[in-house]
Amino acid sequence: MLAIMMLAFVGIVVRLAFLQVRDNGELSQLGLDQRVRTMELPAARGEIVDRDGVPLAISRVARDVYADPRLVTNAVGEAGQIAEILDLRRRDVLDALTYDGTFRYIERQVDLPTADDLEAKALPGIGFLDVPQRYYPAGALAPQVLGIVNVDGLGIAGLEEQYQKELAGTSGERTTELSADGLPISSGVDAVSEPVPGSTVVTTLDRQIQFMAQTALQRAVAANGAKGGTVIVMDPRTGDIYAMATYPWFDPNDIGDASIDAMRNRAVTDAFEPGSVNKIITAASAIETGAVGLQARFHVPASMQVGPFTIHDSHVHPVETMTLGDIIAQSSNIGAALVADEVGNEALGSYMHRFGYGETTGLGFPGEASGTLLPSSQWDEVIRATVSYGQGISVTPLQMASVYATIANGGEWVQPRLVRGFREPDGTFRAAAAREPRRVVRPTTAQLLTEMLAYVVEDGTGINAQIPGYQVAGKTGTSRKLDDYGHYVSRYMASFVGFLPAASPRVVIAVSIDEPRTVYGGLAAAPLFQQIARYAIQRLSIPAADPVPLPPHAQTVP
Amino acid sequence: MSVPARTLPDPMVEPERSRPRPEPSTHPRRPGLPARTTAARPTPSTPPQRRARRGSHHAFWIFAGVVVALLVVGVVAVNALVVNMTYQLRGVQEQVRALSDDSEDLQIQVAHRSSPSRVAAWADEHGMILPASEDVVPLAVPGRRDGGRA
Repeated sequence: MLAIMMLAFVGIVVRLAFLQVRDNGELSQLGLDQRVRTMELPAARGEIVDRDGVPLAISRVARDVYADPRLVTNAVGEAGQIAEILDLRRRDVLDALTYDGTFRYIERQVDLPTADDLEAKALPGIGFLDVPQRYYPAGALAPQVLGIVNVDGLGIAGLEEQYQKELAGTSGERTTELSADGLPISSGVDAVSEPVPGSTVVTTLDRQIQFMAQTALQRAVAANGAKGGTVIVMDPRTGDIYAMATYPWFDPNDIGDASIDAMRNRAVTDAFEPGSVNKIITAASAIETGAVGLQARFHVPASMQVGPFTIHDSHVHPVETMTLGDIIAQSSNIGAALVADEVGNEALGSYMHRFGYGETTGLGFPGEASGTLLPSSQWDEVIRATVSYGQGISVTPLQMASVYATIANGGEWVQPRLVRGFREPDGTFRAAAAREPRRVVRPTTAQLLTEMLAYVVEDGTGINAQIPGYQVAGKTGTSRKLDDYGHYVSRYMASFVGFLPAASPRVVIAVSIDEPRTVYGGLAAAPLFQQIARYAIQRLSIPAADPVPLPPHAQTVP
Repeated sequence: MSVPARTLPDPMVEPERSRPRPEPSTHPRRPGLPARTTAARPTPSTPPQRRARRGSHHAFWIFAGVVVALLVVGVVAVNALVVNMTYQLRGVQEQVRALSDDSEDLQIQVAHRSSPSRVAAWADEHGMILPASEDVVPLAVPGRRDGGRA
């Protein structure tokens, strides 16, 4: 008997040793797993603010509404009430309530007042989850630039996508020991790894200029019976983009009805044939290489045979004597082709590359186009002629604005930028990386080009861009569009790119109107430039400057 | 730590060594039998030394009981304090969270109410119009590069 008891005792001791020593870790973990719960603490998504720190995109709390169909007692009745409050189809709600499972979303990111209304009904089987929702307090202000996020808070377009990593932050977690009834044990495990909020993206956008640019663009598109348009306003000294507008746009707070086309930031993602605004590069290469002097005179007909093709000026005129300044001011295609003949393929192609054609601007914007530019070695005389006046190549509106910003900045290219930097959660500011500035043309060349552009506005095709008290420098452009098969059609893009004051440029504005009724850039786009420039003068307190002299010219446009 | 009382020498008690030993029996011991000492045993009454030792045991147990009781009360009190502080801390954290939420709400409201489109719509409703571009004339004062601005 004693032996049996001893044996049993030994058995118990051995079992205890196994439990306490061998299986200790595993059993302890099992116990902890039953009591301890770890929850993810989502990081707050960073804001996107304008250059003055005013929020343009911010996160707020919304609620996901879900159903646990096992707990639903009256699916038909509940479906009716839910559909009415959430403005959903009754059948869709009924499908969710009768789903064969334990969890089904009914609607995601419902605003708090609506969710509260529904919660007050206390419907069985209906639950709510607090979730962050992206909100754009200024509404449809630069929506294509800011971009959008999906229902899971992931940036899928624009700056939201480009700076997803910086905006998202790092999630934390909380480990809590819970009692049998699910309440936290006050003296139990309570370890918190705090989430790190996302950084604030500080843009270069000016809320007021952006709004005025959009308003003016919308009116201009309507007035010209056009399909759409883009506007870029930037500081040539820093590359800061004050405004970037594309019409038509969409409301980022209600993207349900927005078309994919309206979500594209065409100022960056769409390349088009620039037309006559490109002639300034032809002039730049002529001056830089010394191929054409400012006093040189060309006899310019209204049309000219180039290879198998005949090229024309925009209007019929007798053979005229023109200087380089006249060719730019009157926007003569024939004159530009004659200048390009003097410059040559290699030099002309080289300067187009130096001004940034054929590559992205370094903005890093999702979907940014680089445009197209054939290598100059493949050019024949026809391509040389057409390229000289901006056909046969394609650039984005931002690339074109950057060309004029380079001239306005004394010949030095500065990378355009939409983001100044990031404000970290601890308040420190980190500047955004940018390419080093590079010299494209000599300051003297930039000065001569500015004089030519001032002549365009003073006495050329750009007179509708004049602003009393300020000397404006700019260039009109009209280009034919291509169809899907690469053939020219009778649809046009009208544009105007310029800066002011000519002697001390503070702002560059690039405007393009897509398929206007009046096709000429001087008629369709220059007035829009003028409206935006007038507002920029007030908003940025731009002082007037002494006028620059006009270039030698042989013509005077009435 | 206190030393158990029974290990301490009692200064009032004479050391055992000095007790008078009983006289040895005058009867011869039978071989093979242990010596019978009953007659030489002291009386069964408790000696004063043992009574004193038993008294000190009682004091020890009372003292130990009090200490344990105090410890239990102390531990319970500290635990209650910790729990109470935890609840207070959670309350404060909730307040901070609520205030942060309020602050964010206000920021959103400020951004929304000051948005140019809303201001323009409000102005439009109240009969205000933007001046036409021809109506705004920047003044350039001769000789001043700032265009006449102060």
